[in-house]
Amino acid sequence: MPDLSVEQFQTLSQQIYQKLGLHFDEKKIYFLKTRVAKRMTALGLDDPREYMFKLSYADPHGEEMQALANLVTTNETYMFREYDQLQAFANYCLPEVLSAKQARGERTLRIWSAGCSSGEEPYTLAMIVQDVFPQAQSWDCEIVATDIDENMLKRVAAARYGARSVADVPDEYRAKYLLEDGDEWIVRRRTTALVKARHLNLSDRMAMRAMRGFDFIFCRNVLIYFDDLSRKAVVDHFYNALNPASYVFLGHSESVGRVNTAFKLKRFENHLVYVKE
Amino acid sequence: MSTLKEFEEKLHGADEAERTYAAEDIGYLNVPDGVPPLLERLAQEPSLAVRAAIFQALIRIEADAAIEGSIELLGSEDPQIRNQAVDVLRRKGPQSIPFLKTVMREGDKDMRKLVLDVLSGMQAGNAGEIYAKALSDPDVNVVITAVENLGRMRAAEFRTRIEELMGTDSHPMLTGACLEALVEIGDESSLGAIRRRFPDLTSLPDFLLASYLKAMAALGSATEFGEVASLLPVRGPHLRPPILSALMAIYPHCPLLEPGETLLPALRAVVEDGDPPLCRYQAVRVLSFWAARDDVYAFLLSCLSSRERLVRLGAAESLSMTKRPGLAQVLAARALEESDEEVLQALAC
Amino acid sequence: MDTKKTILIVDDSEFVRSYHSHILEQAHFQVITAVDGSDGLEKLYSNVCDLVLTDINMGNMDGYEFIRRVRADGKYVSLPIIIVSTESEARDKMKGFEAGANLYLVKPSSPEMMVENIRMILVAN
Repeated sequence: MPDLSVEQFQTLSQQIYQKLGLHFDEKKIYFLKTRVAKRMTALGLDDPREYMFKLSYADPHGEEMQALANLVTTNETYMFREYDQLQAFANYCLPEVLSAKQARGERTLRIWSAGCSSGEEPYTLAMIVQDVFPQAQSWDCEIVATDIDENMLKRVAAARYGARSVADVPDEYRAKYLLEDGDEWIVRRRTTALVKARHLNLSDRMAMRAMRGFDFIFCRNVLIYFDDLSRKAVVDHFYNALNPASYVFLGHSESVGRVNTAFKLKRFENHLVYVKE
Repeated sequence: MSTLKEFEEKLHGADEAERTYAAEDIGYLNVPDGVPPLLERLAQEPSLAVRAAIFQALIRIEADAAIEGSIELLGSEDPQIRNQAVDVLRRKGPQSIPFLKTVMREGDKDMRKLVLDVLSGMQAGNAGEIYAKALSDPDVNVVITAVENLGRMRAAEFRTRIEELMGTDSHPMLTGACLEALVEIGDESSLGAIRRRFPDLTSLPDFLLASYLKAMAALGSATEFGEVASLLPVRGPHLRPPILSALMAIYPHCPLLEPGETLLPALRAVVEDGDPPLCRYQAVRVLSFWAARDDVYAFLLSCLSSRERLVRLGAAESLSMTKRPGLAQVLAARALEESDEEVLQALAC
Repeated sequence: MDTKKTILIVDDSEFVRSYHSHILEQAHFQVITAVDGSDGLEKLYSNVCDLVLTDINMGNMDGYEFIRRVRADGKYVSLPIIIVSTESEARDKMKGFEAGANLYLVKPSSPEMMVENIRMILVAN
C-alpha cells in the first residue's frame, strides 16, 4: 500500500475539506490511506504525490474528488445515525426553538428531512420530537421528508424496516414507537402521522423556492455527492427555507460554514451547530 | 415571462429571500446585461446570503462582462468582496487570463497579489508571462505567492529561476517558499543548489529546516539520510514529523542503508513517549525498515500491545509486510485481543 | 508546571500556515491551524486557544468577518487577536482595529518580531 506521509495526509485532508466540506482528523489516517490506495490502484499511480496533484490540478470536473468521496462516505442509512448530532438537536436546539415559539404563542413546528432516502431519518426525527415534546400531537407539527427517488418515497410510506435499520434505536424508543412484525419493525401510526413524504429534486430551484417556513432542516450525507456550485445552491436555498433562529444539520463531518457563511456557528457544550439568525 | 428588468426590480426588494432569488435568476438568464445590476446591488447589499447569490450569478454568466465586473471588484475596500471576486475569476479559468494580465501591468501590489491568488487554481502554462514578471516583482509577497503557485502546479520551466531566488539574500519566507517549490519541481541540480545554500543544518531555524526536510524527502539519497537522521535526537519535537517523513521518503531509494548508532535508539524513544501521537506511528514505520534485525523485530512485536493505538497500527502495518516464521500466528493471536477496527484491518492484511 | 499556550493560525495558504506554525512551535507554543474564517471559528469553538493569528484575504470567510464573529461571542471578548496580512496601508490597519483586532503585523513579518509581539500580548493579558 502506498505510504501517505503525515504531511500528505494533512494536505489531503485540507483539500477534501475545501472541496467536499468533510473533516478528517488524525484518527482517520489509516482510513484515508486505504481509500486513497484504492483510487491510486484504479488510476495506475504509485506515488501519492501524483494522486494529490491529480486531485488539485488534473480533475477539472471534480470526478476524481467524487470517486474519492464515494469511498470515504458510507451510503448506509439507519435510524439514529450520527447520534451526537441528534443529541444536540434533542437536548438543545429543539427545546430552544419550542420555548421561543411558546413564548410567541405559536403552535407550529416544521422539519425538513432533505434527501430522506428510505425514511429512517425522518422517522428518527419524529420519534425524538414525540419524546422531547409530547404536545406535538396538539400542535401543527410536520416532518417533510423529500427525496428524488420515487422508490425511496414508497418505502417511506411503507414505514417498515429490517433489523439493520433499527439496530441503533434506543430501547425506550423502540418500545414506544416501533412494532415488531416477524423480523421487521413497523413504525407506529402516531409517529408516521407526523411525516409527509414528497418528491423533490434538490437541484430544482423553483421547487426549492417553494420550501419555506421550516424550523429545522436535516440534509445529512447527501450533499457530498454534489459538485461545488450545486452544493452551494442547495444550502443557499436552505437558508431561505428556514425561519429566523432555525437550524440546519448536514452530516456531522460536513461543514455548513464551508459552503455558506450566512449561517452562524453556535456551540452547546461539545456540540457545534449552525443557525440562521 | 420574467425579464431582466423585473429581476432587477426584485433585486432591490425588501425581502432577503426575494433578492436572493432575483440574483439567482439573473445568473440563470446568463446575459451580459445582467452584470451591471448585480454589481450595483452588491455595493449596497448588507446580507451575506444575497451577496453570495450575486457572486454565484456572476459565475453563471459566461460573458466577458462577468470577468470585467469581477476584476473591478478586486479593488474593493471590502475584503469579502475582493476574495469572492477572486473565487469567481478562478472559476472562469483561462478565460480570465488576458484581463488579469492588464491588472498585473497596472494594479498596485495588493491587486497583483490577488491576481496570483486567482491563478493558484490554474495550470501555469497559460499564465507564463504573468509568472515571469511576478518572479521579479518589487513586492516580496507577490513573489512568494508566485513561487508557491508554481511549485504546487509543478511548473518545472521555472525551476532555474526559483533556484536563483532561493540563492539570494532574501526574506526567509521567500527562501522557504522556494524550498517548498523545489520539493515539487526540483531535480539533482536543485539538490546541489540547496546544499550549497544551506551548508550548515545546525544553524538553520526551524521554519526553514521544515521546508528543507521536505526537499530532502523529495530529492535526497544516502548522504542526506544520515544527516537527516542525526537531527532526530537533537531538534524539537515539532520537527519530528518532517524529519521522520524525510527518512521514510529517502530510505526506499537506498534500501541497504545501515541505521548507524544513534538512529535506532532515537526512533525507539519517539515510539515510546514521543509527541504528537502521529510521530510515534511514523517512528514505528521508519524502524520497520530494519525489521530483519532481531532487536528491531522484537521491538515491533512489543509495539503490538502498546496502549497507543497509532503505535499498534504502525506495528501491524509494518509487520504484515515482513516475512518471518511464526509471524502469521503471532498476528492472528494479537487480532483476538485487538479492539480497534483499523488495527484489526492492518493485522489482517 | 508551565502549560504551553495555544495559538490558532488562520490562513488560506498551506505554506504560510506551516511556516508560521514552525516559528511558533520553535518558540514553545502549541499550534492549531485553520484554512479560513469559517474553519477558524469551528476550531476556536472546539479547542482552548490563548491567541489567534489571522490573515485577512481568505476565500469563503475573510479575516475581518472572522474577527467580528469571534468578538460577537461574549466568551471571546478579550481573546488576543493579531492580524498578519500583506496589506500595509494605514486604512487597512484601522479596519482591523475596528473589527476587534489587538495588533496588525505586515506579512512577511520577521519571526523574532512575531514571537516578541505574541509574548508581550500574552503577558499583558
